Amino acid sequence: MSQSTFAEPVIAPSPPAPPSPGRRRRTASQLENRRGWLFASPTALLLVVLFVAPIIVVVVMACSHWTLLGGAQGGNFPDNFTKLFADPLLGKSIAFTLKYTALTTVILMPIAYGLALLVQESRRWNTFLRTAILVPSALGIASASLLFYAIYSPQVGPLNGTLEKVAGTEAGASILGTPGGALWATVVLVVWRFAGYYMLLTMVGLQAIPTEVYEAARIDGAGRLRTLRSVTLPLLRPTIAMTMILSITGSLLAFDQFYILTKGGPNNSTLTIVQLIYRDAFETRKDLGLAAALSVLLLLALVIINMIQLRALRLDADEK
Amino acid sequence: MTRSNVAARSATYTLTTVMAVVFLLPLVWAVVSSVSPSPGTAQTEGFGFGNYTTMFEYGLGLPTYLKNSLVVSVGATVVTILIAATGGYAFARFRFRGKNALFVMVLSVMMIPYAALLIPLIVWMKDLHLQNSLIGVALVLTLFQVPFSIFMMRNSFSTIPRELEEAAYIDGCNSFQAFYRIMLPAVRPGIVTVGLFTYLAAWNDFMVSLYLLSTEKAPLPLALVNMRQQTMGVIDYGSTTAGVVVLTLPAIVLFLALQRYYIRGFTSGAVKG
Repeated sequence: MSQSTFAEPVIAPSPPAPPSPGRRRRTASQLENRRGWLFASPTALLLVVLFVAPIIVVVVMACSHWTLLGGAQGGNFPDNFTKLFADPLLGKSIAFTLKYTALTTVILMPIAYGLALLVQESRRWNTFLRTAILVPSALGIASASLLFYAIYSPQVGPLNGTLEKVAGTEAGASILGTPGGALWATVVLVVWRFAGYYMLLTMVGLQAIPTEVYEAARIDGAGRLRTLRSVTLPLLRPTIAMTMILSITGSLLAFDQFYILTKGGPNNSTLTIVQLIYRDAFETRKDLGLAAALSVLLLLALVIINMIQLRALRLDADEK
Repeated sequence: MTRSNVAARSATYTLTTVMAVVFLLPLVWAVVSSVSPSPGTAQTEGFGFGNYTTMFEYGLGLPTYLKNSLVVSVGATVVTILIAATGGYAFARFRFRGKNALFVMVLSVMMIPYAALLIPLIVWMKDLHLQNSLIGVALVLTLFQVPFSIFMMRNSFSTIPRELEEAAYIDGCNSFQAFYRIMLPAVRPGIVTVGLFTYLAAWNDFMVSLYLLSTEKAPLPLALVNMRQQTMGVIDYGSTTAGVVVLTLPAIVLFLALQRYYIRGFTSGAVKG
C-alpha cells in the first residue's frame, strides 16, 4: 500500500495534451506500428500469460519447498536439486530415455525413407498407399497406445498365441511383462504411429529435388543405386537432418505411450524422464518443488540440444 | 517394357499392398474385436455391441466425456485460428516495434519442451482462475500450436498481393475491415490447415488433461485411460477397444476428408519452421 502511494508521483505520466489537428496526423510508420501491435496483441498476450509466466513460476517452484497438498512453504534452494540428484531413478530414467530415443530414431528414419521411395515408385496406387500409411497419424499417441495395449494383451490380443508358437513364450504371459518386451512393444507402436508423418516430410524433401538432376545422372549412365547414393541422399541431407531432429526431440519427451502401456514397468525399467516428473509430483513424493526442479533441468537440456541441432542444420545449409 | 521392368513393378505392387495392410490392420482389428465375442468382456456370446454399452455407461456416461472433448477441441481450434490469423497477418504485413523480439518468442515455444511447463501450470492456472477448466486446457493446447500456426498463416498472408488491401482501403475499409472482409477469405486454405492440425492435436490430447483436469472433467482419451484402470485388477479390454473406436473414428474421418489440407501443412514449410 505505502509503496504504491510513494511510487505514484514518480511514474505518473503527464496528462495527455488535448488533441490538436497537427498531433493527430501521425506519420505513416507510427500508424503502421499501431496497426501491427493491434494485430499482434492476441499473440503477445497468450505468450506472456501462458508461456513467459509459467517459465518464471517453474524456476521459483524449483527453488522452493512446495508440496502437492501443502502448497508453497518458502525458498529452499538448492534442496530440490540435491534431492533430485540423490534419486537413483534419475540416472536410470535418463539412460532409458536416451536408449529409447536412439532406438526409435534409428528404426524410424530408414523406414520413413523407404516408404517415401516406395510411394513415389508405385504410381498407380500411390495415393491409396500414402493414405493408408498416413491414417495412423490421425490418432493421438494415447489412443494408439490404448489400441496396442489391447493388441498386446493375452486376453483379447491376437499376438500372444502366435508368439507362443513361434518364439515359445509362456502361455498367457504378457508381452509387456519383460523389460525388453515392453521396450520393443512401445517402439513398434511408435513406428506404426509416426512412420507416415516422417514419410510425408521425406516426400516433401524428395519432391524439392529438381528432375534435371536425375536426368543428368541418367545421361551420365548412373544406375539406380548409384543415383540414390550420389544424387538423392546428398541432396536430401537437410530433410534427413530435420526429420532426425524432430524424432530425437519428440522421443526425449516420451510420456503417453509409457504411461499407458508400461506404467514405467516392469520394475522401473521403462521409466522416462517426463514420467519421473509426473511421478514425483503426483504418485510417489507428491513434491511439486522436486518435480519443478526436474522440469527446469529438462528445459535447459532441451534448449541446449535444440540449439546444437539447429546450428548443425544451419551449417549444413550454409555449405550448399 | 522390358522384363526386368515388369518384375520390378510387380515387386513394388506386392510391397505396396503388404505395407498398406500392415498399417491398416491394427485399426481394422480394433473395429472387428470390439464387436466380437471374448471371455472377460461384456460381449461373451456372438457378435454385438455389448462392449459399446459398457463403455457408454462408464462413469458419468459417454455423452459427458464427448462434450468435454468437444469443448476442448473446438475451443482450442477457435482460439488458435483467431491468434494465428491476427498474429500471422501482423508478422507478414507490418513493421512494428518489438516485432523481432516477439517472433523470437514464438520460435522459442518450439524450443521449450511443453512437458516442462505442466508443473508450473498446475499452480499458475489456479491464479488465473482457470483451475480444472476445459477452457484453460484449450488455451494451453493453443499455446503449443502457436509456432506452427503463426508460421502457416504468415506464409499464407505473404502470398497475397498487397494491391488487394490497397484496393480495400481505397474503397473506404479501415484496417480491421480490410483484414476481416478481404484478407481472411483469401487465406482460407491456410486457416483450414491450422484448424485441422489444432483440432486433431486437441481431440487427441492426453497429457495436458491428465495434469490439469479432474476425472469428472475428463475428455475422452483421459476418460478411457481411467476406465481401463477402474476395474480392480481385471482390465476390460472389450470396452477399452470399443472406446478406441469411438475416439479414433471421428479423427480418421476428419483426416480423410481434409487430407490435402494436412499435406499442405507439410509442403508450406511451416513444419520446418
